[in-house]
Amino acid sequence: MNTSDDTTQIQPEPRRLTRSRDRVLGGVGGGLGRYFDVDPIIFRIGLVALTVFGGAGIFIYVAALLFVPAEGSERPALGVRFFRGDRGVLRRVALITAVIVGSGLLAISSAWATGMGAGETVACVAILLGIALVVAAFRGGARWLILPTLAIAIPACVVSAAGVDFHGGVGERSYRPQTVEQIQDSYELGVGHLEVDLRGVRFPPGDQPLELRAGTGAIELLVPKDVCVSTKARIGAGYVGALDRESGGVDVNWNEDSASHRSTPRLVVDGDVGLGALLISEHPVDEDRGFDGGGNGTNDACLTPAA
Amino acid sequence: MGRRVADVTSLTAGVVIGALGVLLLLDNLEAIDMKFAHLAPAVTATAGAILLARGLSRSRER
Repeated sequence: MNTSDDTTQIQPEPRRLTRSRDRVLGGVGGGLGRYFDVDPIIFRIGLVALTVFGGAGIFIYVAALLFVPAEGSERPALGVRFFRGDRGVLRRVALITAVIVGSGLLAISSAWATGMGAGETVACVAILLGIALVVAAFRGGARWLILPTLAIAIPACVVSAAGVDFHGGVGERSYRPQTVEQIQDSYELGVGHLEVDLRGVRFPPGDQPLELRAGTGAIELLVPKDVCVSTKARIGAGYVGALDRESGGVDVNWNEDSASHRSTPRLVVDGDVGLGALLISEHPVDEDRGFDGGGNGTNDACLTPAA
Repeated sequence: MGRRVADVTSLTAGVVIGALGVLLLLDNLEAIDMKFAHLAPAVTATAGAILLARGLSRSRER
């Protein structure tokens, strides 16, 4: 009697990396955890950490989604089929690319139109598309319309909430008046960098009003040391740095009403930036160092009578 | 004859995006002063409602 020859030996299945069904998003962490026989949470935390610090995690995740097949699937991974020229996959990738590019263009157009004063029109378009989605819901649905509609509505809302105004043009503007008469009442820019350098101006005693407006970007105002600066500013989202003080965040309302001696000239600044920064300094801001509150002037002129 | 069921995802998206459009219109007509402090929760709620509706309709389809 021979028992050992009749015994069928079960070969262990070769270990294969697949995306797990036990998933949080695409099953990448779960698949890696099972492959290496460790808790998937380790890979999930690692991927999140790599995404936050440097962004590599997102590329690793997308690559794994494309090239690692799903658990139980006999078909090769999506990326492999794409490079083999699978028509169905090529069509899907082309469609997704077209939707993403189209939505991006819609988002830019909607933001631009709102910033140029056509916010009511954009709002009406968003409402009509919302109604169209509701009507379509009872006729089988129109989910493909959701992303383009969001691409129209959300950027317009952001621009409107920030109070961005794109009038005034795009680019770099630099003004260096040398006398009080040369100073304009208002300086305005749509998108870009606006520099107003008043260091060459000799201000007489009394108030000199100055209005500064930018839709998106930075305003840099350079002031002489012997002038007291009083600042009122509204920043939709961004940063305001006025000499030795600074503040940042969203919906920033800055009001520093500095009184000066009668014999001291006072510059009364009224600033409005939708998205970006308003910087007031006694010397040009070092781009590498950034605006470091305290190193840009002290506004001491407000405290002392003019010499 | 079977009753046609509405697509919950499209319905929810239509309602919340329409509401966002109304907020935008009111802000542009200066009836309200929309700020980021109001907009951020509104946009998050919009995305959340759409994702929730999609998740619920998926589980119902299964």
